[in-house]
Amino acid sequence: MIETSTPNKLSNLNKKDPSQKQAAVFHKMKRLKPLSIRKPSIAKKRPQIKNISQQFSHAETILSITDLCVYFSATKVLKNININFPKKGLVAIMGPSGCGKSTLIRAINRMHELDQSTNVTGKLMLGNQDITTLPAMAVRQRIGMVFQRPNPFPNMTIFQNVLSGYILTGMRLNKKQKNEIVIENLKKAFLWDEVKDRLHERGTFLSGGQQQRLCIARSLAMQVDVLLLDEPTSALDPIATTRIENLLQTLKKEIPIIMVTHNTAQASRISDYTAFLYLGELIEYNKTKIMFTVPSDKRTEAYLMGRFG
Amino acid sequence: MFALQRNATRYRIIKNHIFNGIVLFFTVLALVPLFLIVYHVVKMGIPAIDWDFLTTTEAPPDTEGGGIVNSIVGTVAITFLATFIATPFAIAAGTYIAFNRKKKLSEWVYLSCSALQSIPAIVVGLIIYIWIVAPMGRFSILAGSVACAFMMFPIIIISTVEVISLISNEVIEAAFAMGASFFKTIMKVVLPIATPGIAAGIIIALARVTGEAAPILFTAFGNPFIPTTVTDPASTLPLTIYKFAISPYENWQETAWGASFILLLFIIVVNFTTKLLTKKR
Ligand SMILES: Nc1ncnc2c1ncn2[C@@H]1O[C@H](COP(=O)(O)OP(=O)(O)OP(=O)(O)O)[C@@H](O)[C@H]1O
Ligand SMILES: [Mg+2]
Repeated sequence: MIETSTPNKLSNLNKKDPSQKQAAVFHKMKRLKPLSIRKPSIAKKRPQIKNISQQFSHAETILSITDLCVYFSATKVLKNININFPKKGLVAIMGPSGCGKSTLIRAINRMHELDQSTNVTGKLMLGNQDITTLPAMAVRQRIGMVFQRPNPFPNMTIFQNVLSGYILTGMRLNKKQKNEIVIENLKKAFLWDEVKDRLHERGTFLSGGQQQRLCIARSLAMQVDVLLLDEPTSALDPIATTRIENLLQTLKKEIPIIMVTHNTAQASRISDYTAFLYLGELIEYNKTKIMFTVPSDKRTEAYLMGRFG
Repeated sequence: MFALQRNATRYRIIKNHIFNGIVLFFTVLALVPLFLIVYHVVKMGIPAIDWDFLTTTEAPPDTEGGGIVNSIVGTVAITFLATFIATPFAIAAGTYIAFNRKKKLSEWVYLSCSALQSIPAIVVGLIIYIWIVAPMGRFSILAGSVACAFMMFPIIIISTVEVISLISNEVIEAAFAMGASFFKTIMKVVLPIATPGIAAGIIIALARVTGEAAPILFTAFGNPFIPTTVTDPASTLPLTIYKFAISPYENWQETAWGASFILLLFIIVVNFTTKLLTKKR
C-alpha cells in the first residue's frame, strides 16, 4: 500500500487551517511516489476528461451552472464553477470539509439570498429557463432541498409536514387531493408502512431516519424538478443510512438527485456521477465508476485514498 | 502525616456544613416576608369575602358591607383591552427584531424596550392623561387600557424575541427552502412554534399591569358603579385597595383586605398557568 507515514507527517503540520493543511499535504505528495506504486499502468491511462459536463446534450441536462462564484463578504468561497447536471441519475458532490459543497447546493436553491453579506454571481439554467432571473421563492418551489439534520416542522403533524409545501405557499387543496398527495409521497419515501397509523401525530416524534424520509417526502410532494440533499445521512445511524440510500437509489430513476456527501464509500455505492470539489474549485466531474478507478487529477486520487477530508 | 490530612479533611467538611447552613439560613430569611405577606392577606381578607362581596358594588363610606364587583369588571375590562392593544404590535415588533438582529432599528427598539420597562408607571399614566384623557375630556377604560398597554409592550416584545431566537435556524431555513414567503414562514411556522412562549410573556405582562394602581390613577380614575362602555371611567382592584386602605372607614378597610386577597389569588393563578405553559415545551 501507499506510504503509511503520511498521517504522521500530517500531524506535524500546523492545525490552524484545514485548507492550508491540505495544500501542504499536496506539497509533500509531490515528493512522494504517486499511485504508480500500486498500479503502474494507471498514470498512463489517466483520462483527459476532467469535467463531463460538455458530454451531456442540452436535452439530457436538467440543471446547468455557468461561472458560479459565491462570496461571503470578501472571501471567494466558490470559484467559477461550471457544471451540468443530467436529467437521469444521482450526482454526488464530495470533497473535504469546508471546500464549498454546501455553498454550491445552497446557491442552486438560492438559499444564500437569506444572508445579506453573501454575494452570488453566475448563471443557472433549469431546463430551458434562466432561474437567476426568477424570484427566489419560485425557484425554491421547483427545487427540493433536504438538510443535514432532519428538520420536520415541529408544529405540524406528519400529514401536514408532507403537505407543508402547499401550506407554506398558500396553494389550496381539497380533502381528496390532500389524502392522495400524502399517501403517494409517503409511499415514495418508503415511510408509509411505518407511519400510516399515526399520520396525525407530530413529525418530531419519529426517529431521525424516519424524520429524514419525511423531509424527502415533503419535497417530493411539491413535484420538484431536482432534489438536493446536503449530507442527508451524516446525522443517522448505519441502518437508517442504508434505508435512505436504498430510497435514493429508487428515487433517482424518477427524479434527478444532487447529493452532497462526505462519505466516498456512499458516493461510490449510489451515485452515477461524482463531482470533486476542492478549496472552492471543481477539480473533477465524471462518471462515478471512472472517477473511482482512474481519477484524472492527483488531488481527487489523494482524496479518494483518504489522505484528507 | 495521615492525622494531619484527616484533620484537614474534617476541617473542610465542617467548613462546608457551616457554609451550607449560612446559605440555608438566608434562603429561609428571604422567604419569611413572602409567607408573612401571604399569611396576613389571607387572614385579613378571607373574613371579608362572601357572595355579596363578589357581586355588589362598593358601599358608601361608614356603612355596612359593600363589594368589589365594579373593580373586578374594571380590572378585567382594562387588562383585556390592554392585551388586545399591546399584543399585535408587540408580536410584530418582536418578530422584526428577532429576524433583523443586526439592523439599527432593531437595536433601537430593543433599547427603547428596556427604557420603557424602567419608566415609572405613574409617569406613563400622566402621559396618557395628556394624550387621551385631556382631549377626550373624560377618564375612561380606554385611557387606562392604553396606559397598561404601554407597560405590557416591552415585556411581550422581549419575550417574543427570546422565544423566536430559540427556534432552530434549520426549521426556519426549511420553510424558506420549501418556497415559502417571509410572511408565510412567520405565520405557519415561526409563530405557531413560538405560541406557548409568547403566551407566557403575555400572561406575565398581564399579571404585572393587573397589580398596578399607578397607571390607572390618572386614566381610568375610579368609578363606584359598573362601567358600561369603554369611554366610562372604571375602578380596578389595586386602585380600590389604594383608595380604601388609606380611608378611615372600617368597612372600606375591610373591603381593601378582601380585594387584596382576590388580587393575590389572581396573581398566584396566573403565575401557575405560566409555569404550566412553559413547562409543556
Ligand atoms: N455564512 C457564511 N459566512 C462566512 N463564511 C462561510 C459561511 N458559510 C460557509 N462559509 C465558509 O465557506 C467555506 C465553505 O463552506 P461550506 O459549508 O460550503 O463547506 P462544506 O464543503 O459544506 O463543508 P462540510 O463538509 O463541513 O459541510 C468554509 O470555509 C466556510 O467557513
Ligand atoms: Mg456542508
